[in-house]
Amino acid sequence: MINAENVTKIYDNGAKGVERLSLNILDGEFIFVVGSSGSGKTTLVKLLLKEIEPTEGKLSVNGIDLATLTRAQMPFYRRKMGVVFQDFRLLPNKTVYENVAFAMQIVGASNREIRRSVPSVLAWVGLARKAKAYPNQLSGGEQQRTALARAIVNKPPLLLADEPTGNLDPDTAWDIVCLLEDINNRGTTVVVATHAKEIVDSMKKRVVTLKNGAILRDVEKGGYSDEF
Amino acid sequence: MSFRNARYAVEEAIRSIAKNQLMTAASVITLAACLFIVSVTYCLAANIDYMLTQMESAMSITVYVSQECAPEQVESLRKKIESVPHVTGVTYVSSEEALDKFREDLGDQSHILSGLDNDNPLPRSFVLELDSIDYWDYAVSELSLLRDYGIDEVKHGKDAVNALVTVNNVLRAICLVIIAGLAIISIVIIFNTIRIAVNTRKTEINIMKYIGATDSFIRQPFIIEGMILGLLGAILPTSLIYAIYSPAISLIQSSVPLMDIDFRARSYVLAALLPLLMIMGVAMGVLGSIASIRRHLNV
Repeated sequence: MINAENVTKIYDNGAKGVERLSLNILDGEFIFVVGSSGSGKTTLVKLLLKEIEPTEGKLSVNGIDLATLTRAQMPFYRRKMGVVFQDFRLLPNKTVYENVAFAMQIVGASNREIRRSVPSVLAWVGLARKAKAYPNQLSGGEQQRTALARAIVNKPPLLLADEPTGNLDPDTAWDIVCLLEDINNRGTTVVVATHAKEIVDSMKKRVVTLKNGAILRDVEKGGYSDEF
Repeated sequence: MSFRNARYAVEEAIRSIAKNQLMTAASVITLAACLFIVSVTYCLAANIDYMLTQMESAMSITVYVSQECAPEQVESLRKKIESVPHVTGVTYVSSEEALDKFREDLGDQSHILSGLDNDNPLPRSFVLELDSIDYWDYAVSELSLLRDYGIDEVKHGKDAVNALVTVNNVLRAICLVIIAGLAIISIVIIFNTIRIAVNTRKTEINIMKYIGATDSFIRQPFIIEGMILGLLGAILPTSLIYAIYSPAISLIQSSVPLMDIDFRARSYVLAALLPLLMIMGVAMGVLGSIASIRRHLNV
């Protein structure tokens, strides 16, 4: 699914994002990318979104070499991945239903498909009753579930989550992680960048630990380590 | 653009306009003011042009026929004159007609001409009309080649004509400069309005990019918003011209006794202005939108 070969990203101001990072993530995997702030987690997510370009190295997703993607192809590349952010990034002037429907509108889905898919996705994340609410009427957990519904409504093969539980209390965070695991069980590759220690420890998934932009550890069924 | 996308784009554009009512009103009014000046400039130009055309056609070349020319020579001379390029009309004026005209012009003093009826000194002549004032010099030089066929003299108001042509050209250039200048101002106005609309929706555009919206999908609502602004800005001045054109012309005619020069009809002016303003408005709206959103698409 994701293949990084010696990827280095040095920002314009000289700051190092990631350095000689090589990583192979298989289809259907669930993987935590952990590390303290500035370890390179967010840089990795941005690289995968092709929001930024690697300074060196080769990065491919779904068999597509990101360096060969043209500007015009970008939207279509991004449609093959769902993204969830720490700050939810919902459209404030749209209801929960409209926020999710919007992701389908963008890819050119028909109104019929939208009417069929959106309610079932909302029911699945547990927001069927909040369909008509606006983001500012929702709790953090509900907003993140809306964002999750939006990320998966088009059934992408890959889901990227950047600190998805960063703004949530522990219980709500667990709900979100359970949903992520559920998504993974349905066949979607899930990559979660986080520093939520308890969650990582109890999930027993593959854990990639970053430090100063490089991979410190890559452990199957691992846990969160304080040794950075 | 599919129907679904088009509907989405129109709805979003209307939503944005409704949300930024004050800014929309301000830019529509400013744009309307610019286009109104364009309209007035156009009306002036169209009418001055029209007056010049009337003066041009009133101005003619007179070819005097020499005394010794026999009637059948006069007829062949007429044919030769008619065959000169750009000559569209040739009117023969006999000595008698010339005398009658002279008498008419003298009015009360016409008695001084009595006694000339039997010994008319006025020459026969041809009065020529040209299809355009631009060919004046050419026609005059062509006519002088026909001197041997019985022409005594070619009379023409060349200097006056040249002055008119210059005035007309200068006026056209000034009008073009004014219209171009106002077009740029209008684009800047729309650019700013749309930029504010884009700025308030920066986060939204960003999210749309992450979800995988194409640039054109994101751009369309703003372009339609610009088009609506442009159209509204064009309708106002057109209506204003519709309302005030005829009264303005009447006022000018009654306050300035301008011989018997006609003005362009309102329908003529509007027939040209309506598409001009609509196209200008929409084009400027679209250009302004594209310019203001460009920067935000690079995410």
